[in-house]
Amino acid sequence: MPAVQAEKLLQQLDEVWVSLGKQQEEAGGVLRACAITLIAVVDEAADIGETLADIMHDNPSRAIVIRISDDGRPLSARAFAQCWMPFGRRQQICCEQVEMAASSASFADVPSVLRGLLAPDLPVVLWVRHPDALKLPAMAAVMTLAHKVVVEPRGYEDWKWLMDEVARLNRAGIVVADLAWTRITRWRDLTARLFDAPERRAQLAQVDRLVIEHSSPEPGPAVRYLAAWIANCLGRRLDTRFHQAGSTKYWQIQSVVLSGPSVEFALRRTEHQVVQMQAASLESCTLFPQLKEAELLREELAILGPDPVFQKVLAAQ
Amino acid sequence: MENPFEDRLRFERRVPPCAIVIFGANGDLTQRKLIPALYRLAYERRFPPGIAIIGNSRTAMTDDQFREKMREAVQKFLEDSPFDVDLWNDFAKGLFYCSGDIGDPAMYAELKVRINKVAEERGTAGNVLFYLSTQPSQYIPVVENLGAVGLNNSAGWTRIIIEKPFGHDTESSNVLHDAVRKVFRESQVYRIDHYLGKETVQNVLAFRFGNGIFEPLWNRRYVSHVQITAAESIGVGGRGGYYQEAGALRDMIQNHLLQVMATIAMEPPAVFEPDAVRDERAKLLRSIRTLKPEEVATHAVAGQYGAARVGGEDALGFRQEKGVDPESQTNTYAAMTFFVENWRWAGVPFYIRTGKRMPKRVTDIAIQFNDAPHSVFVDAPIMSRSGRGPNLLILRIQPEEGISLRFRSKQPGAGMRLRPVSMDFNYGSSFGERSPSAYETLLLDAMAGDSTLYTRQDMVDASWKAVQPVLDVWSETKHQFPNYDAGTWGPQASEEMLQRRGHTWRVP
Ligand SMILES: NC(=O)c1ccc[n+]([C@@H]2O[C@H](COP(=O)([O-])OP(=O)(O)OC[C@H]3O[C@@H](n4cnc5c(N)ncnc54)[C@H](OP(=O)(O)O)[C@@H]3O)[C@@H](O)[C@H]2O)c1
Repeated sequence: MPAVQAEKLLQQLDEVWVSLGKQQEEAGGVLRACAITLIAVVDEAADIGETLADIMHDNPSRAIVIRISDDGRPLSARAFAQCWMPFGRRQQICCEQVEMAASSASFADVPSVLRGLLAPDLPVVLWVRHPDALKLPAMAAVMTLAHKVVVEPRGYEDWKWLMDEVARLNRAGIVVADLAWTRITRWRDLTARLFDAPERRAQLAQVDRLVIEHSSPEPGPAVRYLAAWIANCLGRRLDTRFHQAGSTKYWQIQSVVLSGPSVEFALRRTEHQVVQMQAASLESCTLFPQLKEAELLREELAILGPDPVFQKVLAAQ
Repeated sequence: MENPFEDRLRFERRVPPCAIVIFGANGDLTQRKLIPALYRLAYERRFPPGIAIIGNSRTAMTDDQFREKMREAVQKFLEDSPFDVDLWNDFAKGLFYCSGDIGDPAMYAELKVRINKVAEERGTAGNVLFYLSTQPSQYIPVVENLGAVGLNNSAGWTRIIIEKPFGHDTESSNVLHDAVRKVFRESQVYRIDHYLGKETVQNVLAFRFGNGIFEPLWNRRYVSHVQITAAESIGVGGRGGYYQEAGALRDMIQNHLLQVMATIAMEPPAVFEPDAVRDERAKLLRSIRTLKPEEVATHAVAGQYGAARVGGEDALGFRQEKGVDPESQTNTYAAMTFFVENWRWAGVPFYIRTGKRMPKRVTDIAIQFNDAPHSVFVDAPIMSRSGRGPNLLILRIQPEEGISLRFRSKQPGAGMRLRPVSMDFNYGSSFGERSPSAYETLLLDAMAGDSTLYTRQDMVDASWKAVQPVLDVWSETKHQFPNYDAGTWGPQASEEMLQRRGHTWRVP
């Protein structure tokens, strides 16, 4: 008998519901909400409480958090509920959460437990926040349970390997998302806006050069994705340069400039949270508030099927 | 050539640059709703660069004074998003003001010059959206004057948004329509009904036509009756003078609630495109049976609230409100029974009620299903004491948007005791994202040329016809007002109207 059984965890969850229902009887019980199973693979010390609580509001989920450590600990798990009281209401809304702790070795036991733990008939999303876990042999079995895999390259040193891995997964037919790609949605959106006006679109043929400035010593995955996407959209390669400008804790795109002999289209971060759009007589600014992890995940959770534009970018890598 | 950078999966729909001309720019609606909605769209990156807003009203102001006034309005009325100075400064560059009287032809000549100048400076490509946010008596003069200086057409597109009320009865609505039709094509006219812009009203369409399991039940075989309630807890406040002219039937039922009813009862459109959806809505409204004058007394109830103590405070009666005639015959409550004459709905009553000074603010739609044909549970008759069967589907529109299905379940323990339970879906807790306000949705739709959520003249006309017999009879009737206390669910006669068919109003 394995030490951790899906059935026991489900029983614990049932007990949680009964006791919550009793505690909240006067307020009409609690409202149980579940729209997906979200499996989060994180490192031992990761603090994702706030992110999970945040996404629960619009993506109520059965969240299964798997913490991976380097010691040789056996697999362990516990189940509980996350509740919140929506503003102005008496009834609490609750979601289920299961926390598992595994070592690199005992991760091999994870797939069999997960199979019994998924919320029935609902989509499953696997969020790999600890990319080293992709190297664990049992990960392939975990991925077969998921409709979509989301990886997070931020802060990961071996990001070049990770980019290759994402492209490989895509080739293998897995629906995969990279939060570096999600982080540039608004840059892409503004790029598209530059060319909404037909007269500017007509000048696109003259564009032959792309310069992207970034704040990290190396152009990270986001910068590369952005450049590959622009080339894909235009159907031709541009003279492409990446430059470092400034330095921030995490990489940030500072500017994107498309130009040709007599044209220039630019998006420039003028202040921390403001981006300016410039082209001939056009000048307009847009807010780029700091993106939270939960907002990125929300965008990905809203798209459960394939993302053809990203797939094309990956295929071109 | 399409924009090669388009990504429909991830990018929000974008609209082309245009000039928005607001008549009544110094008014309440502009400051409370329109400008905050426009600013909010800019905040959400839903606007193209180059959008221009030109305000008109009589008060003399420079562009800068107008910008300052609108900044104050945005800061005051912007809901759940922060005010950002940088973004405002950028937005304000597109705000202009043109003072003058709506009745003065010279003003339109000047307006035309402003619009052309703005088109050149801001690259609006000649696209113009007029917004009539003025008193209804001024709609016709504005439209005629726009036509006279040729502002009804441009190098790009020209559209005009008209606020309700579209007339005050069938005849005046036709007069307005005739005047508009002389100047604008129907496809240029966007009649706003902000109820249709509400996220949850749109969700009714998703619920009905996006699922396979409810539509087979959606007909006279399974549905006993439908109740639509739109209650407000407040009185008329400072709008007593305006409200006195309109009343609840005109203010709510003729437009908003009949549109809601059409959304609930219409046939599925072949495609989700503006005219296909509006054709079905219009068809449904035309199928509403017109009451004969002698039927009005049994199919419609008027009410007016009287003074009462509500929540430990003295609440005024309608006749005591500021600006209201102490003998006023205005209805602050109206309830009606409608029948739809088609195969799907023949014989199914649609009860609609609306009122001011009710116990709480709530809008919902309840579909009451027929009872099971035979009860196998001897101790648990199908009907409850209220005479209501167990199966009820409630589409909640406000304040808590969502859907509830009520059904019966066995009470735990020995024996077979049944009790009703409710299965709830809460729009807010399942999708916690902020829903755009109705004005944001509608303004964006008009700029994009999507008229799905706007009413067409044939719909306006059909809904006036549905209430006209009641308006006629009531205008000749001396009502015994007040007939309900502030803080209650309306007059007793309204209960009696349902009891005649063996039904009762739910308590929402
Ligand atoms: N308020 C709401 O929440 C609301 C809701 C739904 C529908 N509506 C509808 O929206 C429309 C506007 O409502 P509102 O409440 O904003 O009205 P309002 O406060 O009376 O505003 C109308 C504005 O028009 C200007 N105006 C009046 N006569 C004029 C003239 N001869 N020439 C040029 N400008 C003139 C006035 O400014 P000056 O004094 O500077 O000229 C006034 O501020 C109405 O049709 C109403 O039924 C309003």
